[in-house]
This record gives sequence, C-alpha cells and structure tokens, in this order.
Amino acid sequence: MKALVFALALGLAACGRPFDVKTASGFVEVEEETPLYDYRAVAPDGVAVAVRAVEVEEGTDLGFWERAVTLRMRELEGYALLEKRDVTSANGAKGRELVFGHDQEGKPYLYRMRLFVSDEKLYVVEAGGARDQMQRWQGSVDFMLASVSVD
Amino acid sequence: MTFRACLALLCLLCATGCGASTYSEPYYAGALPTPAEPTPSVAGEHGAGDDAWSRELRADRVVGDIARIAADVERQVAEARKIRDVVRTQCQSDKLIQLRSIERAAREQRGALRTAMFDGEGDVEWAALIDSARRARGLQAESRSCVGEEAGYMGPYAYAERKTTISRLESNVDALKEQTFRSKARIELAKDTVLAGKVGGEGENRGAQLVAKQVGVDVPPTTTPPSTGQVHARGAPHDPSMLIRTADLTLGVYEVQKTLDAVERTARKHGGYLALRSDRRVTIRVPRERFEETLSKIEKLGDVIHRNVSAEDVTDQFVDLELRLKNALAVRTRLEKLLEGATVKDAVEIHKELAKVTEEIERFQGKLKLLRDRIAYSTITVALEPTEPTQLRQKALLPFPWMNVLGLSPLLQVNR
Repeated sequence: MKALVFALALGLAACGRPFDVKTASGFVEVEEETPLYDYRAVAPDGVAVAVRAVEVEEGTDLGFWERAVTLRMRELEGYALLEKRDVTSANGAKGRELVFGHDQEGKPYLYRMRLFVSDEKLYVVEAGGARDQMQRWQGSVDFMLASVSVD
Repeated sequence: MTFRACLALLCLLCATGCGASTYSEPYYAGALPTPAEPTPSVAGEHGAGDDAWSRELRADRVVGDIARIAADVERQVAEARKIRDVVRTQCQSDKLIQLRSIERAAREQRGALRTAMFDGEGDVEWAALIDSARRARGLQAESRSCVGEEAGYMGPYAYAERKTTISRLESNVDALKEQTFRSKARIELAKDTVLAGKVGGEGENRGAQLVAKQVGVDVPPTTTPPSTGQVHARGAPHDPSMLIRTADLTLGVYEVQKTLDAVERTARKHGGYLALRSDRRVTIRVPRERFEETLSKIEKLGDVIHRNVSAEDVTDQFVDLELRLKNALAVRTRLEKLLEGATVKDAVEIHKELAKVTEEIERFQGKLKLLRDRIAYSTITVALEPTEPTQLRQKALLPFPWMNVLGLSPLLQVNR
C-alpha cells in the first residue's frame, strides 16, 4: 500500500514536469521537501543525476547559456573544463554537454552538464560524483542522460 | 713613649682641627701644583725646618694630592666615554686603575709613616710616599696625552659644535657623491645614445653632435636626407638579455596533486628547479632560454583558466647599480689610501666612512647578484584554486538565482 502511494506520488510529480527522464537500475529517485531540482536520483555510493527546467528570458540561445555556465564553473568555482560536445535529447532537441573535473577533499570528481533550450525554458541536466564511481556507473549515467526528453 | 713623640702626638691632634683649612685649594683644570717640599733622596734626611709636625701636614697633603689627581683622571675618562672616544677611554682608564692603586698604597704609606714617627723614624716611609706622588703626577700627564689633548677635556659646547660640523661635512660628501654619480650616469647614457643609435636628418644630427661634443665622442655629420618612410632608430636595439620573465597560470582545480607533481617534473626536465610548493600552488624557475617551451608544456597539463606572462626590462636598474658599485669601490680605494698616513683621530673617522662604504658596496653587490639570478632564471607560478571573490566583483555576475545551485555540492547533498 505504501509502495503504491509512493509510486502514485512520483507519478503525479512527473506529470507536472516539462520533461521526461528514466531512472536507471541501481538509482533511486528522491523526494525532498524543498527541492532544488525537479528530478533527482542517486546511487548508493554517491553518484547523482538531476534535471530541472528554469524559466529564462526570450532570445537567449544555447551558446549564451553555454558561455554563462562555463564562465561560472571555471572562474568562480575553479572547475576544469575537460570536454565539451554536441548532444541530442531523446526527442531530438539539440543540446550541449560540458564535462568538468573538480577536486573535492583531495579526490577527483567528475561533473557532467547537458543544456537544452526550447521556447522560454532552459533544461539543465546534471550528473556528478567521484571519478572512480562515475566511471563505474558510466553506463547507467549515460542511459539516464540520454533518456531526457524536453518539451 | 718619648717626650718628642708625645709632643708630636699633641701637635697632630691640634693639626687635625686646623689642618683642614690649609686644604682649601680649588679644583684646577690644568696640572695640579707640585708639592713645595723637596724630594728626599736619602732616607733620614729631613732638611732644614722639616720637623715631625710639618711632615705630618705634608704627608696628608701628599695623599690628598694623589686623591685629587685620581679624581681628575676619572673625570677625563667619563668625558671620553661621553663622546665615545674608544681609544682615549681605554688609555685613560688604564691610567686611572694605576692611580687608584697608588692612592691606596699612599694611604698605607701615610699610616706607616705615622707609626714610624712615634719611634723617631719615618724617612723610608716618607720617601715612599713622595715617590707615589711623583708617579701619580706622571700618570696624570700621560693621561692628558692619551689623545694629544694637552689642555684637559673638551667642554660640552665645543663637543656639540664639532659634532654638528662633522654631520654637515658628511651630508655634503653624500650630496657630492650623488651628484657625481648622476653626472656619470648621464654621460654613459648619452654615449650609448650617440654611439649605438642611428640618426638621420640634419636636425637630429645637430643634436647628436652637441651631445657627442659634450661627452668627447666623434659623430660624423650626415649629408643625405632621410628617405620617406625610413625608420629612425633613436637608441640601441633592445637587449633581450636584461629581461626578467615571469608567468602566472591558473588551472582548473582538478587532479591537483597530480598536476603539481607534473609541473615539478617538467621544471626539472628543462633544467629548472622547484622554488615553492603549497597545497594548490607551485612556483618553478627555469633557465630563461627554456621558458617558452616549459610554459607550453605546462599549459597542456590542465584547463588554463587564466594566463599572465610578463617581461620586465631591468637594463636601467642594472646599469644604475653597476655605476653605483663602481663609484663606491673607487671611494673605498681612496679612503684606504688616506688611512695610510692618517693620525689616530683621523683614522677613527676614516674607519667609520670605510665601514659605511663597505656596507654600500655589499648592498650593491647583493642587488646585482639578485638581478642576475632573476634574469638567468625565469619564474612560472601555477595555481590550482578558484578565483578570489574580490577579483570576481569586477566581472558582471549574471542575475540568475538558479546558477547559484550549480556544481557538485548541491547535487550530491542528500539530506537538507
């Protein structure tokens, strides 16, 4: 019964989202009281995937947000940009993926971000964790990132 | 006890009361008056009118004289110390020590004389006392000649005046040195400009001629006017050997320790060395000819967020220091020559000047050495840390609150 209620709750939540994403095996979607993300799923050893849609000003394009995010992550946070490439959402929307590296408590971490722009929304898809764990969960993370469909 | 001894004792008691009035001599800045009695050459010879009572009085006076001589020399020592005349202080202190010893001996001799006089004796003790007085006077004269001062110590006003004169002379010497140095620097600069520069056109050449004439260099006049578009090189071509090169790189904070190790290895591979290393920053120094190559290797080690490369031209500083050093060495040689024939007093002053000049020489040599080292080895600093917030305030941060929730920290937090 409880499981049914929980599943219903999740389903209802998913109805309100302007995007769709699949949770890979080994990951669990988490609900929070004051969510910063519209969707967040975590694996037991700390790898997390999150998606959110933010309202943005009309006229901004992918290039603008890529530059804004890159500047913010590199200049402010000191993240190292390791890679960037073009990506496509599950429903064919064009996007951009940025892969950053950053040391936390002396250990290397990876932080992946995909950006999609449509109408007045910016979709921010994030995945991150310790580098070793990210490499171990790479298949699942790739699956979840590729499963994102945006409106 | 004999009658004469009793009488002598009685007279002594009287003399103690009225004898003090005979010792009212004021202090003399000059040599103290010699005691009037003749120096006995043979023990037992008293001389005419030299009775025990008189001898008592004279013995006290002799001891008093010796004490006053010692006090006078003590004052001279204090004055020498005050004006920090080391040589004089030492010399006069030596005399004072001897005088104090003589004073103590004289008092003992005085006591022995008194005792001997009760038995009708005393010639030997008297002779010893007179000898002590003679030695004390000799030491007083020696003390005055310690630094050639025959007229006593320098009064406070004379000392202050002399000190002021010395200070004024010292500042004049410094000003002259500075003036000489500047003139020489101008001449050297003018020579370089005239000799090494290409000049064209009559107007310019006339200026060059005037400068050349001033410094005693021949520059032939040019007769061909410059062609259109000709570049006039006004000075010597820039000397790359006088450049200090530095580079500052900021890399992304990723694989920090691995990157720092790699930077250190790169430095060693290119003939350099590690200068400084901390948790997130490393500074290396490499030979200047390997600077560019090392820099490009390091830039491949990570994501370069900031890059700052500079070259500082230190030619002026170098020439300046070399000229100053040359002048200081010449001054030192001159002072050493003056020292050879100087008096003791002048030698002390010359030594002071020599110490100052030597300190200057060492300072210039140190600065030149530092400059040469900085030129020979270029410095590269690599930091793997976020930018300081104060620097970011100069950039326009975008007003999108959702951007504050980017990154690993909010993403990986499970419990809020």
